[in-house]
Amino acid sequence: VSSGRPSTGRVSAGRPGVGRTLLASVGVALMAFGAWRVVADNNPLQVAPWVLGPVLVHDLLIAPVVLGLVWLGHRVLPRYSQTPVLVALVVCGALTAVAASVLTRAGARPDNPSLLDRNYVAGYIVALALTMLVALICVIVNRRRTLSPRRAS
Amino acid sequence: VSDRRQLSLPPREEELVGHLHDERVAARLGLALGIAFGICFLTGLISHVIQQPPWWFTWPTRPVNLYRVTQGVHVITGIASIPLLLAKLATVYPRLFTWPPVRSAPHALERLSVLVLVGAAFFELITGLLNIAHWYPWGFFFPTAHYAVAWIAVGAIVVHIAVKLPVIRRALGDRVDGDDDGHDSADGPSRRLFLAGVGAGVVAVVVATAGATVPWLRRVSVLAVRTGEGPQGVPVNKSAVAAGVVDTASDPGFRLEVAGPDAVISLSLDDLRTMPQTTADLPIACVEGWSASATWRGVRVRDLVQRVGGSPDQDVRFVSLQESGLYGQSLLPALHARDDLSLLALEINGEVLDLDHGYPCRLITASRPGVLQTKWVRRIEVVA
Repeated sequence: VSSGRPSTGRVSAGRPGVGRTLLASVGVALMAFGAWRVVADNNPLQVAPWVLGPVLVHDLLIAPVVLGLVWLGHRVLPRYSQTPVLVALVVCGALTAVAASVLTRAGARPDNPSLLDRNYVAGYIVALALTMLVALICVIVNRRRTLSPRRAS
Repeated sequence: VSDRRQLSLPPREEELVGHLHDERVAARLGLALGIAFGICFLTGLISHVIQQPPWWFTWPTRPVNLYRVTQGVHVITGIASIPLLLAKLATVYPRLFTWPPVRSAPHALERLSVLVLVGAAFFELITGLLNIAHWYPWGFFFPTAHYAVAWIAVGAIVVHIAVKLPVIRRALGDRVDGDDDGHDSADGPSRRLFLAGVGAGVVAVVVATAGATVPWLRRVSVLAVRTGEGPQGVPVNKSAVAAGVVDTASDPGFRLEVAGPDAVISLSLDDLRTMPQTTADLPIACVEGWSASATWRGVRVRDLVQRVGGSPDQDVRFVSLQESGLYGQSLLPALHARDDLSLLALEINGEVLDLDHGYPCRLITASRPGVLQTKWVRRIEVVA
């Protein structure tokens, strides 16, 4: 079933049963319906780049860079700081992904001040700063614990 | 000692953030992502069928906040899925380099289905996120494309679950922080802490955006597309300028036409003001997930229907002064048309409607999407 992994004996590596075949067929039918709607109601040539483009950008750019950073942190940072830094990276990454659409203010319109009506740059910086502050506190606490001669338990 | 629970590895993969590339982490993230996408899909489907109802479908009038909740949940689960999807992809990233790339026809199909799954999932999250920020850098029409690709994404998820079911069962049955090789805690952040970190990311993005629909989060939702402020305390989606109705809507000679089986009548704004007025506290709940409550005052739709000889079993069409775009008119099902709380509103929060809120008169009903709460109404037709 999964590639390259030795079977544990608990998982049947053989043919899928009726249930799984049925489930997969339902999935294929749903996909086919969606594909039909794409073709019937949209121009597939306009939709396709927005389906494949993000996959390419993620797989070739974002993932290698982010995983490279994680790997680097894993190598360079002292152990007591690794978890807080990783969590901070995840949270800041999530906030950045969501913030991108409002930070640009691309959808703002002069005739509608109720839309995009915050200072997003300030809000984004404050959110990242808060995250990093919490991570820093965790690092300091972890460091004290690690370096303390009287280790708990 | 090799950890036999590692997913299939390209060279030196164990060295590269070993503990995150683990089927137990992947399965838990997948479960959370599956639930989030499932809820997002169902709430999206609800919004779709309300706007394009098939013959068998009726949407209730109560509770008045029903659509506000379903659509708020739609956008919130979509936003929550963004960190979940990125984390899930990070845990399975090494599988992209499985060698040989294709082993058999079924394996090729499985890999193709994963490509479709990831592409469709990205498409849904990115287009949804940009749509709520009114950013349209693409050529397609957002609602139809977002709807069509949603079926592809959900179908691909179902296929993926079918393919991976034995692995999912095994992985979810095991403790996520179980140390079968004896030294996992010595090798960087543990899996449990990584999952906790992703959970923190989910909480962060939800808190940062949910204030658009959850009033008590407004102050802290620093990335919400709207603060909830606007003319007369209520946000606006399409302004009078954008709809091109400034001149026609502010014309003092404005007359509302009401057409029914017995008569076609023409009412001035003063005529409407002399009819019995009803006050209702109703939310305006946008398809984009934001919502805000307001106190509306105006004439009951059913009173207008009655004046032209319509029955409570008839649907009613509302036509706007707005001539461009798809949302220049809406069809109000009979169930809503005869509802006590369905108003042709003249006032909001104690003031005459702002031009941007639909002056001289706009439809406001319980539990329906904002795009169907037609503004700048010029004609009402009882539909046979």
